[in-house]
Amino acid sequence: MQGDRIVSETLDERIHVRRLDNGLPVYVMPKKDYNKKYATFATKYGSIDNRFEDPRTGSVVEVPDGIAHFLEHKLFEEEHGNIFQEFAELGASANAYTTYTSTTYLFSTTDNFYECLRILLGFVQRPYFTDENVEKEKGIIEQEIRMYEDMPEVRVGSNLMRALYHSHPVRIDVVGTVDSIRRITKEMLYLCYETFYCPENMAVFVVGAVEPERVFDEVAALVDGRDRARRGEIRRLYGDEPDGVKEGTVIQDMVVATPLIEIGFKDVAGGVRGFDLLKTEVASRVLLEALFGRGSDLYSELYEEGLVDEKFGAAYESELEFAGSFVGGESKDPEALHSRIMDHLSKAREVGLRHEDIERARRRMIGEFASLFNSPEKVSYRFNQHLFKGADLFSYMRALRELTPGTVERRLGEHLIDSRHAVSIIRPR
Amino acid sequence: MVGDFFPATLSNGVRVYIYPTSKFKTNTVKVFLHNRLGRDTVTHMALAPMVLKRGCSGLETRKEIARHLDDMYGARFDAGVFKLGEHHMMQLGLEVVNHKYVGAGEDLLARGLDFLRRVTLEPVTSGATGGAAGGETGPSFKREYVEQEKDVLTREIAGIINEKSRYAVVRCVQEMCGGEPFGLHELGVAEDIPSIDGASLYGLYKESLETNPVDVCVIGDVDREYAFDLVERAFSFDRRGGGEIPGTIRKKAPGEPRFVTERQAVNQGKLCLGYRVDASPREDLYPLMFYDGVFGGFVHSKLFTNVREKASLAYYASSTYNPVKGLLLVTSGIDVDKKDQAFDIICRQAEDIRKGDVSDEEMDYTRKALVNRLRSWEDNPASIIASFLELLALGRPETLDERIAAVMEVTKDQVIEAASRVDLDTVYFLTNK
Repeated sequence: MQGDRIVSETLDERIHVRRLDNGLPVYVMPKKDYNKKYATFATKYGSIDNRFEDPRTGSVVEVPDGIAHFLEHKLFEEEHGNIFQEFAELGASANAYTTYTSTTYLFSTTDNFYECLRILLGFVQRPYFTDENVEKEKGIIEQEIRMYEDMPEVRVGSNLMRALYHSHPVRIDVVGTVDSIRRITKEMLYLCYETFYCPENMAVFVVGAVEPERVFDEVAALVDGRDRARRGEIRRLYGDEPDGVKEGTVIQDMVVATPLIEIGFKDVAGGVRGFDLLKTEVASRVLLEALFGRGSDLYSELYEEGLVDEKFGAAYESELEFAGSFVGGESKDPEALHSRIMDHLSKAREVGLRHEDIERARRRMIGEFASLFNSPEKVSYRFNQHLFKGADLFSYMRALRELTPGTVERRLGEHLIDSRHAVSIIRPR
Repeated sequence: MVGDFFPATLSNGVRVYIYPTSKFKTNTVKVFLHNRLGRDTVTHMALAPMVLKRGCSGLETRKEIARHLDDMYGARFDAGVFKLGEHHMMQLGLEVVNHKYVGAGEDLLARGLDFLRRVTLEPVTSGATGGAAGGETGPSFKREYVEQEKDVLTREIAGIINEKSRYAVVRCVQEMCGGEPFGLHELGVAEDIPSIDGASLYGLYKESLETNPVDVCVIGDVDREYAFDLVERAFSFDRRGGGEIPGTIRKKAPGEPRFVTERQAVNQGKLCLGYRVDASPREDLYPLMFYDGVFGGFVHSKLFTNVREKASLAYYASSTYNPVKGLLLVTSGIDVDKKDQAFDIICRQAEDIRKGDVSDEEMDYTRKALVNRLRSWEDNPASIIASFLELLALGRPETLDERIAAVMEVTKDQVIEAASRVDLDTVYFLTNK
């Protein structure tokens, strides 16, 4: 076992690290003044991992959409009942979430931390699937899918992903569809579990008033001894996704008062990880802030014309296998907003960005990043996200400080381009 | 101490509450202006903070404000309204990172308070030009800003329909409290928007600021006296005081519940049950919090266990208790065909508690969950302030330790007794057929 620390002097925060012999990394961020102790146990396995090589047979397996999320639900069930009750007995609350690329189990408590930690590590490592309990879950997840179907802000985003991507599984909703989840069986769940829930593909993160050494020892006792063979890199098959987009525009009618619009720019990802990936992320985010942020010329023009409101926003998201920028919100005239944004971009490419705008955006992001450390939930979300991309969280601040205007301008030219964009609109029915 | 805050009052009557802690990376300031909730003012007071966000002395446009906030390392500024019982509260909030964590050479809190002062007291006005009636010559909010924000507010009110689960709750409350001020949405009434002009709006805002109660809360790594000085410097404006705001109306449920069904093209039905709580908000606070916890507040509660886990009818089914108004709301997303089944299960849970069917285990889990929730709130500046404000409204501003002690003392008999005061008033169902 090896111990280590990552320190941020400016933020007055440190994260203690230990990698167990079986490959599981454990991270602890002490927060001595906080009542809450928050722990996550995450696996680098999300909704896009629907085609992979079975590590035992070497053959290619294709599983129904939404299975990672289904598995997340099912791990909470034990032979004797429901794991929520065990946390409740200790006064803690537990939850989990699945994204395109990861599944995270978590609890939050102010008391009985180590008992809770044992439950968390226990249930995630103890799958219990029966034909009956798998069937029962389908009713609950179907209602979850129906709920998202009625959420316009979810629809606008998921329709956009389908327009941007030809074949990459990121075009499919994390929860899958009512039809796809109906095809899920306990055997499939076990296979996915065995493939992706192995220590080297997972991470434990703890934040709160706890002793790092004790956390390491507890986790080691509960995880290290298990007979979980090292697998090495898991082969995930995402296919060959072309650079261009699949469709230019997608429109859906829903019961909404004002139309919604989201414009996506597909970024060519792949091959970049670690600090390089952070640099790209930071440059893209500063770029979007400078172009579309509250302090930008464009935003105030659009606001005064009534084309956008305070829900308007822009974000850059990147994963190892896909990345993109997303701009949008509600607008009474989404077509007009779309063309204004595209015009703005082509003008910006011609005349360049103002360095003061870049500076302002950077300064804002430095403050926002520091504020992140107020929230155990947010900091662990971001930590896990970065970790699975081979980057460390504190380097984000370094990337922000080292960023040059030239890098930001280069991003404008290579990323926010017409041929790699698509538009998703929700119209009032 | 008032609760966990150090209280002080400015000579003009503005109440100041300071909570020094080194826990957070940011400093938070919130200004609360109390108003009466009523049809004649609700829409105005919803619009006022939107206009305040448009410009102030030295920062005359939204863009200048945004750039000023960027310059303060991404300070977050927001202004809006919410309901606290039948007080219509206007909130102006600023959260700014502590300068020592970003290498800023100056105290960003001092700058932040000066900014809040300008936004609150020195909005952009258009002098003698306001007044749609023509004859008025008093100061007015800038006409152009008012007109633009009227459009935004119109769209926002219309947009309540977008988010179905929230919409169902809003509609349930609207149906249930139709004859009471609380039935009004905090954003006001769309049809009242056209009649608002900059002069009347400014007059009402100024009147409210000068007469109605104002609370200022500060949380952060600050010296108590220094923080007080900053607030005093910012908010020692002339006030007359004396603005009285009537207490909240608390009603009993009718003998038979009312059923309301609404149809829209939706994929999932939303079932919302509104209960009236006929109890003293002050004395019965903890037994009722406990009741809510046993009934539907947590994932160990009866609703989650029976509606979701046992019957697989829903992804979510939960309850929330509003002690100030005396309402308890159950909300659930279900298959449109399963309404009767879900309704029966929900009612049976309420009935079971009334009959005394509360296990020691449910008591124990709820007690721990409530303590966990209270203690967790202490880790977030916004929730520290929100729960303090609620306690002030209830007239029992306790410390965290006092609150925990009160939760520890609640007995099963008290919970069962509390259940007899919870009565179903209105059942709202959003469906597609």
